Amino acid sequence: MPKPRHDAATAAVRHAAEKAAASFPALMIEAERIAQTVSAGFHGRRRAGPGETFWQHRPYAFGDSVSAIDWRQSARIADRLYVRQNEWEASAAVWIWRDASRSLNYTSSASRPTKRRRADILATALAILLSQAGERVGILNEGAPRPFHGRSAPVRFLEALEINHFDDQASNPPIAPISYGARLVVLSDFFTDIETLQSAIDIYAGNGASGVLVQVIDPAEEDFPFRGRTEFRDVEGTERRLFGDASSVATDYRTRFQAHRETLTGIAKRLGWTFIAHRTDRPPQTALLALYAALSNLSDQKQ
Amino acid sequence: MTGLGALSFTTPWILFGLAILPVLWLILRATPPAPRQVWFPAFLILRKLKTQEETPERTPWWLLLLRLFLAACVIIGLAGPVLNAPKPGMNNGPMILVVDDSWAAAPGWRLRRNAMQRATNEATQADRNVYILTTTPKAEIDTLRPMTGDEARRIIQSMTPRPFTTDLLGAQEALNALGNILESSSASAEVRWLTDGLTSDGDIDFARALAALGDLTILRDRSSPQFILRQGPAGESGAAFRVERLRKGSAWEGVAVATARDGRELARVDISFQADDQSADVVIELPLALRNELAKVQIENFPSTGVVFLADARDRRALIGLVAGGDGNGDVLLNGEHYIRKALAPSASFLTGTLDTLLASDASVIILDDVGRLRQQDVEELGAWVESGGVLIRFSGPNIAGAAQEGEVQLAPAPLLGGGRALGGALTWDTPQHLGAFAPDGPFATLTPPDDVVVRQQVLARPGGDTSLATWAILEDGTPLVTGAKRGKGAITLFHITATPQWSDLPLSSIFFEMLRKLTYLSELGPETALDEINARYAPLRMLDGYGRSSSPNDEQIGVTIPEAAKGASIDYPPGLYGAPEAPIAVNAVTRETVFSPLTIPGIQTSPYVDSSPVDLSVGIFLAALLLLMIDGLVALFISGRMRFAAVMLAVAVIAPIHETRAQPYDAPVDPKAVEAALDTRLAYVVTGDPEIDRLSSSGLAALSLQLHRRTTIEPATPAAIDLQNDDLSVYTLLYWPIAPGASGLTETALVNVENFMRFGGLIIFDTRDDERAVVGSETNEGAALREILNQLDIPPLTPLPDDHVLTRSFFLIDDLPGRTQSNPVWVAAQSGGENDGVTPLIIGGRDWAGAWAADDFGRPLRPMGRGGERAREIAYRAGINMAMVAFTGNYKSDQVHTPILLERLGR
Repeated sequence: MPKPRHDAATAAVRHAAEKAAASFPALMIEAERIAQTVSAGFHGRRRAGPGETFWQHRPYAFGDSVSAIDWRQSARIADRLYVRQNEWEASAAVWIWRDASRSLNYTSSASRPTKRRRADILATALAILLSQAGERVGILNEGAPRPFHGRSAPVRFLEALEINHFDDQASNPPIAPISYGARLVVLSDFFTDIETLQSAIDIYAGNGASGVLVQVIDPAEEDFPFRGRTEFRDVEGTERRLFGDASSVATDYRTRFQAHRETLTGIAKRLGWTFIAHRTDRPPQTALLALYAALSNLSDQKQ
Repeated sequence: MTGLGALSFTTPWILFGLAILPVLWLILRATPPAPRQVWFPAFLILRKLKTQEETPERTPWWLLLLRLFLAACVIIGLAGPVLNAPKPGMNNGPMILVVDDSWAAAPGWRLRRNAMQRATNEATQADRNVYILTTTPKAEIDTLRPMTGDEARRIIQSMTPRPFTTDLLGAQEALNALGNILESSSASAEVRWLTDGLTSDGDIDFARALAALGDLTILRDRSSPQFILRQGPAGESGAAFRVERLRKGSAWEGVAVATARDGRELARVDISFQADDQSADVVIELPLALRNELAKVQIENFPSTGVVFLADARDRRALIGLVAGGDGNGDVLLNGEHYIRKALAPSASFLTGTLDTLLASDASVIILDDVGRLRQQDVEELGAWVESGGVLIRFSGPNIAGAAQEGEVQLAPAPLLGGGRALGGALTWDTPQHLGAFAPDGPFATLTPPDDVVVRQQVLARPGGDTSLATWAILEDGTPLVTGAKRGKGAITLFHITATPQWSDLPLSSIFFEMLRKLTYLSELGPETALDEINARYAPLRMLDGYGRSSSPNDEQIGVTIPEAAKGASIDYPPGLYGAPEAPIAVNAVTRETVFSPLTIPGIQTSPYVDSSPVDLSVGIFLAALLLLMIDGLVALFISGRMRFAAVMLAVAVIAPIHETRAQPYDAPVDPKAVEAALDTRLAYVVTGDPEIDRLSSSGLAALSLQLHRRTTIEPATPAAIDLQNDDLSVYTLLYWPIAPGASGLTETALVNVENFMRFGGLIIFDTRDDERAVVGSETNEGAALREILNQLDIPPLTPLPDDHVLTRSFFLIDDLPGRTQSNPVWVAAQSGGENDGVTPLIIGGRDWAGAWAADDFGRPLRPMGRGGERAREIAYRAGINMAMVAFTGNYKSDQVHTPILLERLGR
């Protein structure tokens, strides 16, 4: 594992995320669904079962394998034999993907955080909540995604999030080998090719994954408050667009914006996923609450 | 060059460019401002938007106006606006500048230089030749030749006023030569005479000669004041000067500053002119010792050689002590002192008194006028004084003659015969004798004996080897008139006649004055030897320039002789100091004879100097245009949305940094703790570092403070804990110092702190708290620690507390100063009545007073009393109150000791 980088920005994001997460009860997700999980993973079920972590000793009973006897423990107490039981571990990973493109690095007002920062905070807060609940949480990336588990999970999650790194190519969730039935949280502004997004999500959904789409947008992107002669410059590219009077296209813009959002909602609805729209001028708790509810609902649905 | 009143333009045709402004208006109006640029991520949607009809936005009218104004500024700036531009003259002939570069021109030299610069500018523009004629003699550079304006300008920049007066007669000769040169040219010359405003010989003729050359303008300075400082008659007690000014008119205040040879300021005297005063007298009163150091008197902040008076070594005055024998009650003309004073007054000051006081004073010469007998002690002291360099001058008379009759006259250069002789009397054969000769090896060698001095009576010296060696002046018959002998560094001399004209004519003769002066110069104690070598040349030492500033002499400067110096400054001997640094000869620009009156040239009009030099406005206008350009840039940035308001404010903050600096107080900041202690009276204790002891000290003093508050008018605040090393003790009065076992010695700072505290009236209570344990013959740890501390301190002698000590009666009447215990004695300073009225600066005991006083927050005592219970505690409080009273009021109450006696007296 690389040496953890703890720069100031990372610490600030973690601090804000902890603040946001502090007001929530531990996010417990029903575990029944996980019982049916095919894939083996490490998720403490707080009961004895197949796993590697020591769970408890119990007296030897007829039928137990001799090899299961913990001789060291048994030697301490006379005339008793103890069997070592490990904790039943099962995977219940929540995979979070946050758009790393520069289009999120935008805010229309210095008093508001950038979309990127808000998305980082939401992702980390969610990771904190999940790890408090004993869930495993991972970052969806190309290659071999690894879920984090345990007390240090939020920290390692935050490091893996690479909050100072931008990648314009990564504006759609990558296709990564994740276990069947995993849950996905996609944080983005979704100002991207909708077909690519849809195909990616279709693949995951076909793999049994359910998920939440969180659209993080700046108020200016929704309201389009520009007036007068305005030249727009693309954050990601070099493209420019000049409008003689920006206010004259505002209505058209808003219509198309809503249409785009409806497309997204449609995709989510079709697959049984949840779509959450979040504006950076709202407190992050609203989005986190919606995420909480959405993840709970997902569990309910599976039940 | 086009003139518009005071404003004119160098290239006025550029102003036609203003006509393009309307065109510019149209162009600027048609060009839309740059669009506002914003970053935007949602290009996915923007791309789908249809571009609608673009209506170009108009540049706002105020921005247009700003830009037009900017353009107008540039055009006007290019046209070269000039304020007060010189007007071109009609004359095309050569320009002749006649400049009085004397010291009188120095105060207004700037005006003259500006006037000359203007003239050269005119000459440059009209391509005329410039001639410069300076009227002081022997100009350093040849300026009386045709020069271009630029060449002349360079010369003018290097011209300074010279420390001489104008020499118009000499200048006229130069003018004649110029006239010959100019005759060849056809155009008539333009002549400007920049006068210094003073009249001088031949000024009218000179003006006529100038007028003959061409168009004459006489420029006179009517604004700057002009002064001279003249030496007045020497007064008895001060150096007198007279300040004269050229023009009456307004009141004027100034300061004359007298400085010593080493540059020290000796005195400042205010000079004030009323509106119609022509002159003001300045008397600088100085003690004689300082007057001899006087080197320069100058009017402050007035740059002219004419207001600088350099003092001469010859102006220094000796201090002469006079002791008169006989009775001084007679007629003043029969009193020898009168003649001595008259003779020496110009160069000396006098002290009269007894011999003791004279010897103690700074007198360099002591004159005993007919003092016959001296007490043996006086003889010894006077002898020692002479040996150390003093000069003793004695005059004969009946007393000396009488003394010589009776025995040896002490302190005489040669042994005297008793009685003396009278010549030319009714019963004598001899005729009065003339002054014969001066001894060639004596101090009078350089003097010529006059033939009109007769001596009628004298005291005779006993003939012999000593006498002939000691004779400095003899009569025609060879008998000594003045005998003298060097003794050590000094000399003793005896006039064998009286200081009155009774015995001889000598006191009435000028030779008397010369002889006395020579004698005063013999003194090693007095001012330096006078410079009397008539023909010696004295090398220049420091010169004065035209502004009255001193400078080093240049190499060519020749020396000056005394008679030449007396004539005052001339071209060969510029004002300044000559000779040796310790005894310089002064040559002053202004002497008593210098003429100082305004120049009047009848028939020719004079005009004042104009002090409004041309001001080039184009720089300012260009700067304004630059500023407008910056504003325009900021506005453009603002309109295109690339600059936030905060950024504007930042820019303004950077452009106009307002940096407020205030004078910082020089004193070190006062420790806040000391401030607090000074605001409220409070008791204090020394922190020992042992928390238990410190807690007890604190609560003990707090309880005592409470009792003081209750019972007396001392109302102390919370006790202060003192760190001897760092705290300022001067704000405390009473310091309780419990000694912890093993308390180590103090640092130097702490020791000084404590000693100062005791010296300036503080009271320290040392408490070893070991009363119970102390056994005679052995020493407790605390006692050892105390001894170590006291060994380092300068403390007065100590004594056990006496029964009648003020500590026992300063508030309560008590027998002792009990603390928790009271076995061993308490020690206080033995009452010596010395420092601080004999108030004891320290109380030393081991009685654990703080322990007795200490109480908790509810007033419950913290420590049990040794003996006597609560009654004893009460007494301990009383002891504490008494100690505090002594600390605050000193010995005030000890007067009560005397109350019975006082009452008894009153009853009587």
